[in-house]
Amino acid sequence: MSRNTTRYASEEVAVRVQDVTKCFNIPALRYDKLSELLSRPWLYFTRNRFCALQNVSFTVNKGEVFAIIGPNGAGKSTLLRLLAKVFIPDKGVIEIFGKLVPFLELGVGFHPDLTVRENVFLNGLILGMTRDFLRDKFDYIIEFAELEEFVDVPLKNLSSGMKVRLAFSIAFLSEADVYLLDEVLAVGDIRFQEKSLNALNRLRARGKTIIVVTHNMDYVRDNADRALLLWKHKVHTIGKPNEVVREYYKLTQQSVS
Amino acid sequence: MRKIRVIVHYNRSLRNYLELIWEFFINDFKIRYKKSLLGVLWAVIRPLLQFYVLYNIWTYFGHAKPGHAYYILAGIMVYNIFSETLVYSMSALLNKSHIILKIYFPREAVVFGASLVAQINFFFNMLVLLGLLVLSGNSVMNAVSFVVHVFAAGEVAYFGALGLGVWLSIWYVRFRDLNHLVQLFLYLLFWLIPVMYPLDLIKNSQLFPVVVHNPLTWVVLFFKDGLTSGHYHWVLLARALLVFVVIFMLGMLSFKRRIAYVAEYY
Repeated sequence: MSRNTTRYASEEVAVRVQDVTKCFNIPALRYDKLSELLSRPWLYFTRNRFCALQNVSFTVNKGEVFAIIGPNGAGKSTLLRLLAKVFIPDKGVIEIFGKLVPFLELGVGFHPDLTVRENVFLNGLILGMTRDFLRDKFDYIIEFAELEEFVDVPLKNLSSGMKVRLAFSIAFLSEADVYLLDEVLAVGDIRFQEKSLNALNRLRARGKTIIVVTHNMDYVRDNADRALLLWKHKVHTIGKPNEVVREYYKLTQQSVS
Repeated sequence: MRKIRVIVHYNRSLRNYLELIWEFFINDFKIRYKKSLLGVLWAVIRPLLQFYVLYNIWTYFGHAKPGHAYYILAGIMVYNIFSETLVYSMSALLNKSHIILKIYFPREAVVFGASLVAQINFFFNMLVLLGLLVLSGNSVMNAVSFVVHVFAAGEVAYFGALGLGVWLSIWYVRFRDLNHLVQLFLYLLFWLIPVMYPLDLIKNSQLFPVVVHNPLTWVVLFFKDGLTSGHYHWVLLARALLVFVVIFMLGMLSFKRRIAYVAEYY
C-alpha cells in the first residue's frame, strides 16, 4: 500500500484508503424486550465490539474499474458505506478525489407515493445534480429507462425492474468522477443488464472510475482492471482480477474442507 | 476536535444544497397530504375549531374579554407553528433513515426541509386570521398590521423550535422515548404561555415564574395589545429572538458534532 501511494501522484488517484479500521459497538441486549431488560439489567450497558474492517489500505486509480470481492460478512458493505461517507472510519483516512456517486442500493430516496417525475428530481438532487441540469436531461433519463408511458405514475405502481432501470438511468447521468456500484449488475432483465453494462463501459471510456462490489466473478474477470479480495475483515490480495478470483476460490475451498 | 477521517476533494454547489432543502420540503408536504381528502384545508379547520371550543369555554368562565378573542386565536396559531416545527424537524432524520443509511448529503437539509412544512400551515392560519379580522369589522389597515406582527412572532417561534428540533433530531434516532417526552412538553407548554388566560390571573401561582420567564410567553405577549391599542412590545420579541438564536446555535453545534456518526445510531 505504501508503495502504491508513493508511486501514483495524486492527480492519478481517484480514491485512497489508508489503514482504515471500522468497528461497531453492538448492544448485548435486545432492548426492545422489556422482560430481558428486567431480568438482566446490566446487559443494558454492555456492548460487544465487532470490527468489520481492520487496517484496510488500497488505492484506486483514475479511470480504473476496481472490483471488490469476498464472501458475505467480510466487510464489503461496510467498506462501501465508508467510501460513500455514510460511516466514518475509527482509524485511518479515506481520501476521495472528485465527485463520488454511490449506488449502494438502487433508487436511493425513492418514495413510492411520488410519481416517476418527482422521484427523478428528488434522487438527482440527492446525488448532487442541480434542478436545471435534471430538467435538461430529464427526457434522456426517461428514455434510457424506457419509462415514457409512466412519467406521471406513482412509483409504487411500477414493477421492481422498472424502478431499477429508472435508478440506473439517473445515476448513469450524474456526471460523477467515481461511481460506487453494489451488486447493481445483477438486476434488471438480460436486455437491460446488457444495456447497463454498455453504459458502464461508456463511462469507463470517458475516464470515469468505477468501484464495483459483486459476486459475479465472470464480470470481474472480463471487465475489472484490478480486484481486491476482502477476507475476514482484512485485505487479503490486491492484483490482477484472474489471480484474485483464483485466490478467492482457493480460500473458499480450504475453508469448506 | 476529532481528526478528519474522510477527505473529499469535491464540493456540492450551494445551489444544489438549497434546491435539496426545497425538494425535501415539497416532497414532505406532498406526502403529508397525499391521501387526504381535505388536504391543506386542515390548516384552516384545526385552529378554527380549537379557537371555537376554547374561547367558548373561557368566556363561559368569564375570564376572557371579547376584545381578546383574536389575541387568543393568534396565540394558538403561534403555538401551533412552534409545536409543528419542533415535531417535524425532530423526526426528520428518523423518517429519512432509508436515504441517510445509503448516501451522504448534507443531513441538515432533511431537517430544514421538514420544518418548512409547518410554514405552510402557518401561512394558511394567517389567511384565516386576516379573513376573520376583516369580516368582523376591523379596518383592513388594522387587520393587516396585526397579522404582519403575528407573522413576525410566528417566525421567531419557528426559529426557536427549529433550534430545538435540530438538536433533538439526532437524539431521537437513538432514544425513541423522546417522542413521548416532547408530546408531553408541548402539551404542558400550551398551558405555560398566557394565551388561554390573562397573565394577571396566575400572579399568585407557583408556576408564575415559569410562565413569565418562558421565551414563548414573550413571543405572544409581543402582540397581545396590538389590536386594541396598536402597541407592540418589540423588546419582548427581541429578547425571545436572542434566546432562540442561542438555542439554534447550540443545537447546530451539537448537530455538527454528532451528525457524521448518525448512521450508527439507527
